[in-house]
Amino acid sequence: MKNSVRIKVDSAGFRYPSERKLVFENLSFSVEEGEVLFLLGPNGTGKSTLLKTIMGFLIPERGRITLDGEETAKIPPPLMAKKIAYVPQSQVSPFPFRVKDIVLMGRSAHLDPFAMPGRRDEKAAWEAMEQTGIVHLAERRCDSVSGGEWQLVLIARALSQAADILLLDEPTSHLDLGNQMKVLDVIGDLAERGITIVIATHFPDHALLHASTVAIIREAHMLGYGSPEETIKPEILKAAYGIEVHIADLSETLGRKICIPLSPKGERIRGPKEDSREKILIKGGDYDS
Amino acid sequence: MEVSQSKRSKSILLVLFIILILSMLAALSVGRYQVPVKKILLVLESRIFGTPLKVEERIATVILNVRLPRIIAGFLVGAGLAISGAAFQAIFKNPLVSSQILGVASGAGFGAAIAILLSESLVLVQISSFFFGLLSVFMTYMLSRVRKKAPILMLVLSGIVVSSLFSALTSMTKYIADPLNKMPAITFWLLGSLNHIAKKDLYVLGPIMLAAMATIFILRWRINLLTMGDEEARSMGVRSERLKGIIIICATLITAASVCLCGIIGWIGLVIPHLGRLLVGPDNRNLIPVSVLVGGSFLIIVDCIARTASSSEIPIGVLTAIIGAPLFAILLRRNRREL
Repeated sequence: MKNSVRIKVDSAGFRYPSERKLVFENLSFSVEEGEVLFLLGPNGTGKSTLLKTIMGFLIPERGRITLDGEETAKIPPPLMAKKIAYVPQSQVSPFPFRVKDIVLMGRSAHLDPFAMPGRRDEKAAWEAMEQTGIVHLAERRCDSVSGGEWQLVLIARALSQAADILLLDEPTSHLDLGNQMKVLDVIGDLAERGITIVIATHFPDHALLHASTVAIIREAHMLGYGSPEETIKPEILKAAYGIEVHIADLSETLGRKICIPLSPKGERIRGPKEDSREKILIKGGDYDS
Repeated sequence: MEVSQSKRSKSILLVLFIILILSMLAALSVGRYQVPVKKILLVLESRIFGTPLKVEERIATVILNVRLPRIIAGFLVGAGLAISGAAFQAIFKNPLVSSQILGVASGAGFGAAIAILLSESLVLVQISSFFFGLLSVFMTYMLSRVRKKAPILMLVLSGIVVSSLFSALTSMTKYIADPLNKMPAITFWLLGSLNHIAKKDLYVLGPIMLAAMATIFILRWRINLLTMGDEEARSMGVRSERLKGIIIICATLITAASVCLCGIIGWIGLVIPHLGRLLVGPDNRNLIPVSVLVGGSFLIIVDCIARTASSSEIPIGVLTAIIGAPLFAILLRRNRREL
């Protein structure tokens, strides 16, 4: 059975009003029900902007971006919020709200403009905090939690919104290793529950972990689009990031592949055991360019 | 934990409400002509239930025609400025702004001054004051925007620029005004005083202020979401631009109306919400009601001091600054982390 298409990006291009260059152009892809799409690409390549145009904050200059067949910029915010929840790049509020009050904010899509959240909403917020494992933080002031905890708070807030699509903008940047894995685990759980996920990230490894589809973007163009096996490849990643990478297959021990960036100066890699000769696998990346 | 938190907020609200009632009674009682609380209650009883008056007519006149309008005005202005301060702080994501800092107060002051110069009509004074108040907040915001954002410091500095521009224009208006008649009127009135509250002004401006305050009050939970930023609020289903517009109009309307009632009274919009956050935290569900109660009581009490401390009345705007500035300095020192 083929799943239904939820988000469709159709030859979309976007440019900020004051700038000459397009942030991205002629991008086309679609996101199906239950799909987990990872957007990869170097800094400043327009991943965040793309998420914002999908959210309808920004209007594409060319092409169309639709959600369930309707142009996202024209969908009224209350309706949009019931379908897509958005986890922005972390910015701590200037006011020290309690964590549970931040998570409760996600309920506004389900309330009249003049209504206050009630017991049902508090219960939904509580469940969202349970799912992300932050119940113990409920009473804490949001300026006293760590970066990783704050990211989980924002994800809980998005979950309390009860939308079935989740857009995350670099949820693991600025986090230490442990917190990265905690956040990724939560994302993995959500994917298993059938939530459709679009996530912008800097880490090809994370895509290897959870992605069903990967899109690699550089300088406004799509370099690769398809399954992780088809896209997380040395030649495509070199075109994206300008360095060589080594994809190590640890299927037998770890059960997955990992992606190792190599120094542009050149690195010595020891060959397989039977081959005792040391060989230089990589030499001179795009270091000077 | 959850229960105790909301219980605590509720008991704080109750205590503040009792303080408000007590300060109202005290304000009705003290003055050049002392009236015991028992007699006040008798006057109010006869007024409310239509029973025959059991005290002298003279006392009833002092209470109902002189002190009561003044106290109602004091409450409306104090509560209104505090609520508009809290609202401005939330939508500009900046705990350091208020209608005074954003230039709304001086804009509204100039609008009122020029209308007094040109006409006598209260409606015109109110409209002009509202228009210039709105113009000044717009100017401040546009001036402070750097790359689609309004950083805290830029917003405060832009407010100072706009504020001094309108203060200068107000001085210009006074300079042009007839020195025997209009100029003293503008000067004394801008100093801020509840001395000349007329019942008929209150009948016009009171409902406007109440309506604007009620609107902010009803929307107070949604205002929380705006502190996260426009896009985030929108992603959670809030029509950010529209909501922000409504809040700015209401807060400006309150400021302009209070400028029309009693001139420029500073510091309340900045200090009271800070005090409120100290009591119940930043959640506007509690902060807005607390600001109303504390702001209202604060201005009623300060007005009592203004009219009883010396033989001639001290302008209340001067007093709120004398009390507000050091109070804010203390709060700043104690809460550096919150800023």
